[in-house]
Amino acid sequence: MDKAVPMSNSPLWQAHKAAGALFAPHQGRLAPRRYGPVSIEYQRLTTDAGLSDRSYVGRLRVMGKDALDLLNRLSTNDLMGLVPGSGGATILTTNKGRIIDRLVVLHMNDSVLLLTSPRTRTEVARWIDTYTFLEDARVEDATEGTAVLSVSGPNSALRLDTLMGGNLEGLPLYHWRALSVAGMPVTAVHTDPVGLPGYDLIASTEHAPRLWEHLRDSGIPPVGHAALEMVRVERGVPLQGRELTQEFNPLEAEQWDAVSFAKGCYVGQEVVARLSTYDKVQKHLVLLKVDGRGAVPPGAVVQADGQRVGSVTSAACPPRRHKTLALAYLHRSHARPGVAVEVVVDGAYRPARAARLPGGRKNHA
Amino acid sequence: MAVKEKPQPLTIHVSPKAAEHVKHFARLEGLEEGFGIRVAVKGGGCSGLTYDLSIVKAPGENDKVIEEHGLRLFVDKKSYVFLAGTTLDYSDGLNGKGFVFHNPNAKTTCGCGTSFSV
Repeated sequence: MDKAVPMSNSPLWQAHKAAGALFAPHQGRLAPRRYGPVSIEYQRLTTDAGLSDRSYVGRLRVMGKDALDLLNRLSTNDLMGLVPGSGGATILTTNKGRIIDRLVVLHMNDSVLLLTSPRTRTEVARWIDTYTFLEDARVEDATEGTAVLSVSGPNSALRLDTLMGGNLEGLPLYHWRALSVAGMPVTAVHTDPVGLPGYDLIASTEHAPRLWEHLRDSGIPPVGHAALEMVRVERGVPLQGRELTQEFNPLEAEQWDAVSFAKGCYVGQEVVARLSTYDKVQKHLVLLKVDGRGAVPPGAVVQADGQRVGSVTSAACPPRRHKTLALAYLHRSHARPGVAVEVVVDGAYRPARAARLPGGRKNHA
Repeated sequence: MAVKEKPQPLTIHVSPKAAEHVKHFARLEGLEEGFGIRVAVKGGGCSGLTYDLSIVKAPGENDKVIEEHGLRLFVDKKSYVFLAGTTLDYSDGLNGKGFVFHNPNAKTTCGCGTSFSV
C-alpha cells in the first residue's frame, strides 16, 4: 500500500477535525474516512447531498495557444470543440493504448485546466512536457494554493442553487462557471466523481475554511471516503490505480464516453481503433453481486467451472444491500449480465453474478 | 594492422533527391537564399511522435544548423535527440510517399508510417 501522505497541510484539516472526522489512507492521502456512522453518510449521499474535500485531486494548468491542440493529440476524446466555459473527459493513453489517467479538461478563459487523479498529477505533467516540442504549451502545477470542496448527491444542484441564486441551472456535465459565494470567488464545475450528480467548487486556500463552514451551515452534511467509495463501486465508476491502470485500455474499462472514433491521430489511437473495429476487446469491466457481506480484497480471483475468468479490482458493502458489490475485469466469455461466477476469498468460493456497469459512463451500442 | 575508423558523429542527413525537392518548394514560395528546412519532432501521433517539416526563412536562436547538398537544415535541440542519425529522403513515382524519414532510433511505427516511437 502507498505510504499515506498526511493531509495536515490541507486548508481544511482543522475543519475536518472540528467536525469529528476519523482519518484513514485514501488514494495516497490521509483523509476523512467518516465523520459519523457510514450508513448515515451513505444515505445522505444517495438521497440528498453530501460535502467532501477533494483537494487532493490534481489541478494542472496548461498555458499557451497550442495547449488544447497538444492535449487533443495526446488523448482519446475530441477536445477541439471546447470553448471557454466548457469541458470534457478524455483518457491519457500510452502508445500501446493503455490508460494513464482519465482527465477532466476544462477550457478556462486564459488556459486549460486539467483535473487529474491524486496520484498521477506529477506523471501527467511530465508526460505532457515530454511530448511538448515546439508547441506554445507549458504545464504548471496549480494544485497547491487552491482547494476543492465537492457537493455530491441527487439534490446537489438544488442545495447549491439556493446558495448561489440559481446560477448553476442548466450547467452541463464537465462545464464550469465562475461564481461568488458569500463574497468568495469560486469556480463551480459540474462533475460526477462517484457517479452521482455533483459540483466541485474550486476556491483559494484562504477562502476554503470559510466556504466549508458556509456550505455546512446551509445544511449540507460532511461525508467521508468510506461512504463515497460505497457509492462509487455501486455506481460502477472506475478509479485510477484500481480499474484505470496501464494494465487496461479505455474500451475494457468502458470509457466510451471519453473516446472519439472520428478524430485524428493521438497517442495509442491505432490500437484503440483496431480493438473497436475488429471487436478485439478481450475483457470487460463489470459489476459483480457477490453473496455474503464479507470483505472482498482487490485482486481476488474470479473463476467459473474451475477456470480463472478474471479478478476483482474494488469492492464495497453498501448498507441497504444484502450482498457485497465488486468491480471486476472478466474475460468477455463471462462478462455478460446474469452469468454465474465464483469469487475466491480466503480459500472460500463465494457465488456471484455479473451485471452491466450502471450509470452513464457506458455510452455505446 | 587495420586502422580503426574514427566513429562519425551522429547527425541528420538529407538525400540529394530530398534536397532538390525542398529547393523546388522554396522557389515556389519565392525564397531564393538564406532559407532552410526546419526538421522537427511533434508529440502526439499514434505511436507517440511524428515528424514535422516546414520551410523557414532563418534558423531559431537555439537551433542546430546542418548543411548538405546545398540545403540548410534547422533542428531544435529537443527534436535533435530523437532525430540524430536520421536521413530525410524523398520517395517519388506513382506509389511515392513524398518526404520520408529513415530513423534508426525508431523502435515502432504506426500502420500508415507517419508516427514513430523510440
